[in-house]
Order: sequence, then structure tokens, then C-alpha cells
Amino acid sequence: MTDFIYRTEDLPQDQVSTLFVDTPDDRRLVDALKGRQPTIIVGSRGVGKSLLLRVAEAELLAKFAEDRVLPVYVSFSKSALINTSHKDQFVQWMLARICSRLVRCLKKNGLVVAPSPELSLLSGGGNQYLQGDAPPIERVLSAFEESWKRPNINVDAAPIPDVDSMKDAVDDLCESLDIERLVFLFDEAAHVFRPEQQRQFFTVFRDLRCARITCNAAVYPGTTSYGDSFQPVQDATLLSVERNVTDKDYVDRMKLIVERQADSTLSTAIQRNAENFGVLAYAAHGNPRILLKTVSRAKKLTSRDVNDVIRDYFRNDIWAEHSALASKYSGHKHLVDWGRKFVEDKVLVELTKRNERLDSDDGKTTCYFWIHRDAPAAVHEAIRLLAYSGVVIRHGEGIKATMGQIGDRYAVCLGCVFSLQSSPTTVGLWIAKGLSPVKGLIVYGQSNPNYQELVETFEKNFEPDTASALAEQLRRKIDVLDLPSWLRKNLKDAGFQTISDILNATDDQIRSTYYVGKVRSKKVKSAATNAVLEYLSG
Amino acid sequence: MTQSVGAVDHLAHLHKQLGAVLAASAEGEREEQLRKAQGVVADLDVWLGVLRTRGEGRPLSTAFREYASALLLAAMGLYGPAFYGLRHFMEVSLGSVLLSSNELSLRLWNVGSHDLHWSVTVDDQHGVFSNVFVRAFCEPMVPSALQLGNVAKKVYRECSEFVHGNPPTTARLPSTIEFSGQLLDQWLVHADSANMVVQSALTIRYLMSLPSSEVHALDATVRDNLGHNSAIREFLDRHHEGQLP
Repeated sequence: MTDFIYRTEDLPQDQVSTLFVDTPDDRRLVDALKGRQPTIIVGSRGVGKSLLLRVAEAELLAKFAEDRVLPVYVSFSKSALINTSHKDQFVQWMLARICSRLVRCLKKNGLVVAPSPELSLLSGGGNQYLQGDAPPIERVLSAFEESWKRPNINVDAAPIPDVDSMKDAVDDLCESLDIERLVFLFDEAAHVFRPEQQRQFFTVFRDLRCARITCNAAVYPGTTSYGDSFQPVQDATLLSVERNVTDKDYVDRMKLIVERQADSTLSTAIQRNAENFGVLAYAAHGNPRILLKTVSRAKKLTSRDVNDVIRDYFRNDIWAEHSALASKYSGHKHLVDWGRKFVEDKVLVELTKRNERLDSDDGKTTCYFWIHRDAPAAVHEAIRLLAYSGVVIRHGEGIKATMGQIGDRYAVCLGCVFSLQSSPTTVGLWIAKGLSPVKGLIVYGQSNPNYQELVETFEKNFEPDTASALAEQLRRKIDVLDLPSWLRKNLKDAGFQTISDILNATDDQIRSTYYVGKVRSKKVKSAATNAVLEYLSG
Repeated sequence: MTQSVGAVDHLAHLHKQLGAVLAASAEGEREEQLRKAQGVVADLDVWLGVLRTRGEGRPLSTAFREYASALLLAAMGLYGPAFYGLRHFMEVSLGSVLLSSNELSLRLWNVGSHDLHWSVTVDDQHGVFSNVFVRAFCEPMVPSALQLGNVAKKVYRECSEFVHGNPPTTARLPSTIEFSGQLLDQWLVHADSANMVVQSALTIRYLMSLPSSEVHALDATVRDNLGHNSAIREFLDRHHEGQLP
């Protein structure tokens, strides 16, 4: 059976390019990330943001000798672990991580050969960066990233340079190393449930901008707190990673994504059951991770397999993942719960009715709804969280609906639409191929009665207490992690019961209990840690 | 003399063990799977009946025999050689199909002056599933060709792991003659994929160029194996209804 890799973080660097399917849309995004204009790519979990960043990195590195543009990939996935006494320390941690990655990247590419005051500054002082010893900046980073073990600890941030000193150092370094510019690729850049961290990130993003530095980032659709200095349109180009399900060759492109990882058995099943695969591809609504998960469950891709998977995944699992956000971030509970109820009980029911009615009409179908621009803020927030989970996909901003009113159009993930059908494989392709963004559009106006419940219960200040939320999450069982069942079972058998257990485990502990080799144990640890970080990130 | 009797006894003992594995292989649901795999031999015979007199008939006959032998080996628990055989079946079948389009190379191959190279056989630009080859012989199959080529490469690579003696793969092979449900199942799914690839290649190369009587002879075989492909179904239906010459 094919063991799919769902997350780019679990991929070895040399496999990144082999899994990339070079479609025109994704090419446009990769080229933008390689360009001079700062770019922010926006997409739900699992749409492939990290892969695009890594592909841009690989392509820039491949042409570095010629173009002298050096990519520096910086993941902020550990931001969920930062639990220090001052909010400013989050900015300091980001700067430390950027410096650390930059020095590492220069070393890895053979650009650090002699002592230099700039490198000394970026590594927190001294010349340890020339030897194998960890420079001061690494020690500060470790202190930050282990602050979850000792909440509210005050980390000594003295070795970390400020933004201006860092930019000066970069300028001088580029001059002396004949580097045209640096391209920072920030992954997991803005924690969707921590508006304060979002504001701080975008301030750093804005402040770093100069002739020698291009900043790019990948963020979730729910990211909206940009802070005072960052202007989303002026300071960066925002590009969506969503894939258009109405493109003529949509299914073929999704097939290529699966094919890159499929073994011969699965490839044969796809060949034999091309239409059933097409239904699953549409059900995933452009999200490769959802497609890989559902395909791996559908075994032989028979109609029965596919129907069962669509019902299981899109009626239960996708909603369970969304509802889990409420238990992780209690401040968002009302928004999460209302969003689910709204889409499940109202939107989906109405879409099903309209598709049945449209059946006898002109063959046009729908998965779209529209929300008035001036609907309550809590409604927009709830819909944004649904977009973060991948249940809905923003399909158009500032769209005119009835009476010339302006609002945003959303698509409900087609899998959720199919899952209400008695036989998704029978009608799935018909629904997907007949989609019209206009015909059958459900319109929710400025003060639709469905909003009432949310407006009444919504608490204005819903920013969660992150410290207590983190402590609670670390105590959770590893069952909540998005890991293959075999890996979860092996970790449990080896005695790792909670998220905290995994974060605390060393490679050696995993190896000694799991009877695996060094390389394999690193992979197991890495996959488990990535799942933990993703869970903590929301 | 005593030694030779001992050797024969030993071989007879092994033969008995092979028989025991064969019986274990046919237990439960696997009997149906084995029957299906055996059915492929009959389908290949139908193709051979049509292609026997052509220049590529002899190598195709050898390749198809290899499939039958590999099935027997897999059922008897000789899993390593069974995977080699499957690879050989694919390599020679697809190679024959490709060379059938180049008479000079085919003739040279038949007299031992030309070698098959797998990378050439499945080359994306000029191989048996390349756009140019499929477009020339069976245009309706063009949309499926790329994926068929991918399946071929994957099955070949997965069988090759047994041929090259990769330690993680060969460690799974039993050191004595014994039944392994896992390996037999793996062989059966690979055989199923290999069969689909070979039947597809034969269909692409010949179906639309054969005289009506031969298409008629192949109708059931092609429908059984490639009935999932609507273009092929449609061709056979039109042929059946007399809309094609």
C-alpha cells in the first residue's frame, strides 16, 4: 500500500522537486516567490503552501551561481511553543530564527570561509559560526523554543541584533559575498489564532524590506491582523493557492499529484477507475492533502470504496477537525460551532435542494454562497475559520449579488456537497462539471436571521489565553495528531501517550523503544513533531 | 551413485514442500485470485492466436510463457523468481510491441543483433506509451497513455527490487520453502498491474489495425481487460454494430 507523505516538512530536500506538479497556476506562484516583489501566498491547510516555498527555494539555489539570489527558508512552526514573559520576546525569537537560518544557509552554500563582523553580529557575537560550536544565537533560540517547559521564563535576548543592525549586516555581507539579494521564505508565518503574533510578524516582514532583502510568506486564509505598519496590498502581493475545480484539466493535474507518490497498485486502480478517482479529486476541492488522505482510504477505488470514503471523511472527519479548533481555542468556540451549524444545517441543505431542482433546469449546479460585506464581523470571522479548515473556499471578493449589494462569494468544499448524496460516484462528476458561480447562488444578506444566534452569543474579546491553551494542549493524547494510524500505534506502544511526551523525546529514546535504525527514527520523530507543531498551530 | 540417489531424494522432498505451499496458496479467497491470474494466460493465448505469424510473434510467445511460469512459481512459494518472471514478461512483451513498429530493429533483435532496453521501451518521447506511438496506432487511448507508462515503470521498479537483491526487499523472502500470504498477495497485485499494462500495449498497437475477424476474436478479451476505458468500449461497440470496416 502506498504510504503517502502528506506534509512537505516530512520530505527530504531532494524529493521536493520530484513531487511538485508544475501546473500553470503553481508556476505563477513559484515565480512570484522567486521575484523581487514581496509575496504572501494564502491557502487552507494542506493546499501545498510549504511545497511551493520549498520549490522556489530549490529553483533559486539551482541558479544561484548565475543569478546570485540566495533563498533562505525560515519556518516559524515552533511559534506555538514560545511561552515567555514578554510579548516582545516573540519578535526577538523571530529575529533569532531568521539570523540562525541565514547564517546556516550561508555556511551550507560555502559562503562562510573567513571571520566577518557581520556574521559575528548575526550569530550573536564571537566566531563560533566558523567552527562546529553552537553560536550564542542558537542558545537563545533553544531557550525560546523550550520555554513551553518553563512558562513565563525570561529569556536573555541580548545576543539578538535589532532589525536595522541586521539589515546593515545583510547589506555588507551581500556586498562582500557578491550576493544580489536574499529571498526570505517564511513558512507557518502567522499563527491564525494569535492575532498579536500576526501583527508582530507583519511588522517584522515590513521592517525587513530593503534593496537586499525580499520577504515572502505563506499564511492561512484566517490571517487578518496585519498590525499598524503593514498594508496588505501596498507592502506585498497576496496570491491565493486555491486550485480552480472548474479548470478543464483540473482532474488530470490532481491525478499527477497523486501519481508522484502512488505505487503500481494504486496507479492501476486509478487507471481502472478513472471516473471514481475524478469524483474524489473534485471532492478534495483542490486540496492535495485531502485528496491523498481520501485516496489512501479508498483502497481499490471501486464505487463502493469511494462512496464510503466520501461519506466518512466529508460528513465526519473534516468537521471533526474543524470542531477540534473549538476545544483548542476556547475563545473561538462560538465562532467554530456556529460556523459548522450554519454550513451543515443551512448552506449544505439549501445547496442540495438547489442542485436537485437545477437537475431539471439547464444542468447548471452550485456549491456557492454569498455573504454581504456588512454582515456582522463575527460571521465573517466564523467563515474565515471554515476557510482555514478547508470546509469553505473564498471564491470571490467584492462580488455583486442581488440588488447590486457587495459581498464575498464562497464555495463549499465539493466533498461536503457530495457527501449528502446517496451515491456520490453517480452524481459527483455531474455536479462538478455543471458548476456555475452565478446560477443557484445562495445569498445571505446584511442581517440574515441565521446570524442572530451567533451575534447574541459572540464575545467581542475572543483572543484566547495562549499560555493556558498551550499547557492544556500539551497534555492531550496523541490521538488528536494527524498521523498515519501505524505511526500513532507504534508511538503509543513505545509509551508516548501525550503531545508533551513526543516533544520531550530524543531520537535515541524513539530508537531504543521502537527498534528502528538511526535514519528511520529521525524520520519517525520528525513526522511526529511536525504533526504536533501543526496541531499546536491550530 | 549413492550421492545421486540422495540428491534426487532431496529434490523430491523439496518438490513435496512446493506442493504443500501450492495447496496453502489456493486456500480461502486466494483461490479466486489465482484463478483470475490463471485466466490471464488464456487471454494472452487469444492475443497470440492473432499475432503468432508476425515477426514479434515468437518473442511474445516467450514472454507470455514467462507469465505462466511466474504464476506457477508464485503459487509454489518461489517468490523471488516469480517477481523476476513478471518483470521479464513485461520487458519482453512491451519491447516486442515497440519493435513491431520498426521492422529493421525487430529483425535484428530476432537474430540477436539488437538488444532491448527498458528505458527505451518506456521512454516518454518515443516509447510504447509515448504520445507519438499511441497517437499513431490508437488515438483514443492517448489520454490514458501517460498514466499507463507510469504504471509500467512502477511495476517494473518494484519487481526489480527483488532482481537486484535490495536487502530490505530480499529480507522479506523466506529462507526456506514456505508459504507467505503477504508475498503472494503482492505478486498477485503486481501481476494484475503488469497484465493491464501489457494488454493495454497490445490493444494500442494492434486493435485498430487488425482485420475485422481478428478484432472479433479479441472482443471478449479486450473488454474483460480494458472495459473500463470508454474509448475502447466505444470502438468495440461500433465494430460489433458493423459501423467499422
